[in-house]
Amino acid sequence: MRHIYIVLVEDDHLQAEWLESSLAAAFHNLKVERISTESEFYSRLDRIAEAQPDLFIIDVMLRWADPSPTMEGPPDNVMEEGFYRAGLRCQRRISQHHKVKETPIILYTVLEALDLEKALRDMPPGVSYLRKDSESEPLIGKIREVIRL
Amino acid sequence: MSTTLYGALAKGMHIKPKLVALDHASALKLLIESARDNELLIDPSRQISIRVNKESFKVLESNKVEVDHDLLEQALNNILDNAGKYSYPNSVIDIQGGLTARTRRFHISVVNVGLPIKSNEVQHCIVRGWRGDTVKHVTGEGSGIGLWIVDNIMRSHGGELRIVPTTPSGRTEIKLIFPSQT
Repeated sequence: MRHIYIVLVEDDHLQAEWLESSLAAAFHNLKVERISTESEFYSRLDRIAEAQPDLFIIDVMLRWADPSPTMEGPPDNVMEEGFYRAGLRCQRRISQHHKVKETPIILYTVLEALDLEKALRDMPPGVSYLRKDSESEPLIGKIREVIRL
Repeated sequence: MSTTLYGALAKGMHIKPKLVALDHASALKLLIESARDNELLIDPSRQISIRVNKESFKVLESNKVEVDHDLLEQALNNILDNAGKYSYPNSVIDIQGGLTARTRRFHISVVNVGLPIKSNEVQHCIVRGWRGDTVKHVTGEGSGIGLWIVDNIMRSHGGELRIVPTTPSGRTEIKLIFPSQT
């Protein structure tokens, strides 16, 4: 059976744990790599791209970093756009990365499509949007659809 | 967060605390439950724990203190929620009891090691809607009303919220000081 490798970018650990257990119950041979902040995503993207994930699931509103004594502030564009566009910046970085630009992305967010209207209009073909739900089935269905299991 | 409490405060209404004696046992029960509940909200990978210094609350055996238990729980939850979000990994959030040095008033202190509060930020922390710049990087969303509510709760008790700026060793202390009972 084929191994499925999903990168989950989610800064709410309770939500991430729930999603991981729901996906583990739905898919066999699943590996989920969790990233919890925007800065962590940037620092790990090259290494993740080498491993060729099957799918990115990305929350849109993400904090920049976890507190630490060595924490660095965000760059100017992050300051200007704000945390509520973090997932879109992560998506753009993937779409420009030569090793993962074809990898499907699900933007999984509490934001309504209307809130993201302009951004969603300009998305590359492999990027889809799904509103967060209290049930995991819609996400599981979407995953089956985009990675064609 | 209690929306009723927030709504009342936002309309400028005064809180009327229902004062009940806070003895050693009831204080420990409330504090331990708050510590446990708030620790569950912290990402376990950050290795942050909340510890209640039980011995320090023995001051309640010889000092009479009256509080509104629900309001105290709300105040504690707001402070512990902040401490959980802003503490550095592999650190401990300490809850301690004691008496203030000069006026011998009972206080509950929450001490953590994390993002600093500078002395020039202390006065802003209790302003409704204010959030420090560094704080925004690590939480994203947030309303900046937590300590404003705590300040209102403490003033309704005739007490005081005291924010001690971060020391050179990195400790930040938030103190809930209750009025002395005569």
